[in-house]
Amino acid sequence: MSVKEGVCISHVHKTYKTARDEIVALHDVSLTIGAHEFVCIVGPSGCGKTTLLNLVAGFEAPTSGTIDAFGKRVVTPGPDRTMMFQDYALFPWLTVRGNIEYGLRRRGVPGAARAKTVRHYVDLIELGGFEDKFPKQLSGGMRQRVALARALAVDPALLLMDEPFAALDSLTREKMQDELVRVWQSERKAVLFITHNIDEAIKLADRVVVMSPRPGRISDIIELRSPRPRDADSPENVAIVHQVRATLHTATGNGSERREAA
Amino acid sequence: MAVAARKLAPASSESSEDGPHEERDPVRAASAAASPAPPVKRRLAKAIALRVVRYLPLLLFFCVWELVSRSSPSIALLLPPPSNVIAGGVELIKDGSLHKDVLASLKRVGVALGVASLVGFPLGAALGGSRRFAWLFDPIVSFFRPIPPLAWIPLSIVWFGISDAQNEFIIFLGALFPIVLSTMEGVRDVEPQLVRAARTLGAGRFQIIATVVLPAALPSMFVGLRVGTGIAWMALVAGELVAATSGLGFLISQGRLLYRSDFIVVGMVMIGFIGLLLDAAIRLVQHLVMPWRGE
Repeated sequence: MSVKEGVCISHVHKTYKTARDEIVALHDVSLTIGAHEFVCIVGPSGCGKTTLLNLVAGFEAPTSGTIDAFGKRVVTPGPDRTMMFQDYALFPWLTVRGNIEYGLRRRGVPGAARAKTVRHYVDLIELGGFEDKFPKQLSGGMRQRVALARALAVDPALLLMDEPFAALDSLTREKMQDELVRVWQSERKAVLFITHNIDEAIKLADRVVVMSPRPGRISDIIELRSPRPRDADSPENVAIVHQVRATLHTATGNGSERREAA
Repeated sequence: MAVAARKLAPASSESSEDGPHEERDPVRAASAAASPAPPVKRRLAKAIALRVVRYLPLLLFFCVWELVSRSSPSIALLLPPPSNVIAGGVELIKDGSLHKDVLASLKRVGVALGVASLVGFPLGAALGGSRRFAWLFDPIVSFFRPIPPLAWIPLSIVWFGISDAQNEFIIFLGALFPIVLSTMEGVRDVEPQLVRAARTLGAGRFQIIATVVLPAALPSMFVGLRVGTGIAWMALVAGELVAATSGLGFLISQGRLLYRSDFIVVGMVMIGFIGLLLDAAIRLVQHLVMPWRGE
């Protein structure tokens, strides 16, 4: 894979200065994401996974190290890397249609083209008939589907997802996971997906990146080759779950262990 | 009638079958399914009865007032009976002075609110949007804010004389600070996640202000406008009582000079009534401008 086609995170450090001391949020994180690859980051809270996502999105700058996305250095947020948030972050004053076409309007896409894109994504997320509803009138799962459509409508090369299904009940969550895989298989974007749910990571990812806290770092990367849809209870996947758990436990319990497999 | 019924039972207004009452009461639900007409009628009757009961104390209050006032002429002079107030109102309408005073007062409030909005919304937005601007100008705002607008009346008379401009200045000061402070809070409290969402979708700085900050702050801005209008209305009456040659406050003070307590009460009722209308008008606009907040 050429670096130009994907995202290259290279020796990224991030420290936050507080009044008294410095907090190391990320320590020497390097990771490449292929152009059509689905990468899941799992780790406990405080491992820096959200910080890493914010850096790739361009909301913050790394203290040292570089991030390149599709041949360009990341300095600001941009529609080539759209983000989906855990709390949906839909614009409450816009309808489903208004939310989906928000990014298109900002870059001045004419009405007919916008309408076509909206129709495509409304069909994709199966929300036909809800175009003129406000987010308040939708269920949590429907809101998250609108957020997905809004992020996809600007045709990003990379989709950043910050625990998008954490607020959903388990049934809706499973449905959304299946739906995400279906959408991803038809749209073929690169995806960087954050979760603290190991089963979710195994269901979705091409590669699972395990991160550990204090300091935030990558402690393991596991490649998943079995075809989707995946059964989290198959012996192969159970073994992977155990491997991830073991990594998390040793790395969280003992800070000296570092990046065995990365 | 239908409106009254709907107001009292909002959950069951759309369909008579699955309202909350029926769910709790299987016997009534069965009867509703068998013959839907009688329960609807019964509910309507109940709604009307509740209305009557609700306004009974107010009606009683007016009756007692009328009786007490009529008990002796000296009391009637101090506290005119409601029937006299109505007569006084009719008299003022007939000679054209009531609508002249109402218009004079509304014009002052309109001008002052307009200027307060033109100054207050941008100033509040700047204070809420820029930490540096707030740091620099917050002391000035904090210095002037606690001075009640009425305390400006003497100085404003020195400046403007007894004129519309003087009244408008007082009203402007009354409306300005609620508008500034609410707008500031609204802009400051914009959900950062929404700004991030807009940025990641490619919105630039000015696009974010127009498409995220403004609609997100709009509810607070309307709160400021409503509070500001309420205070403006109060400041208007105070200003007109002290220094004016027209307006509802002037009508009241004239009533005092002429010993026409019925005119005083007419003025008071009109002030209350128009204040209510102004608030209702703003709420209506709010509803039209922000349909996403409706039920």
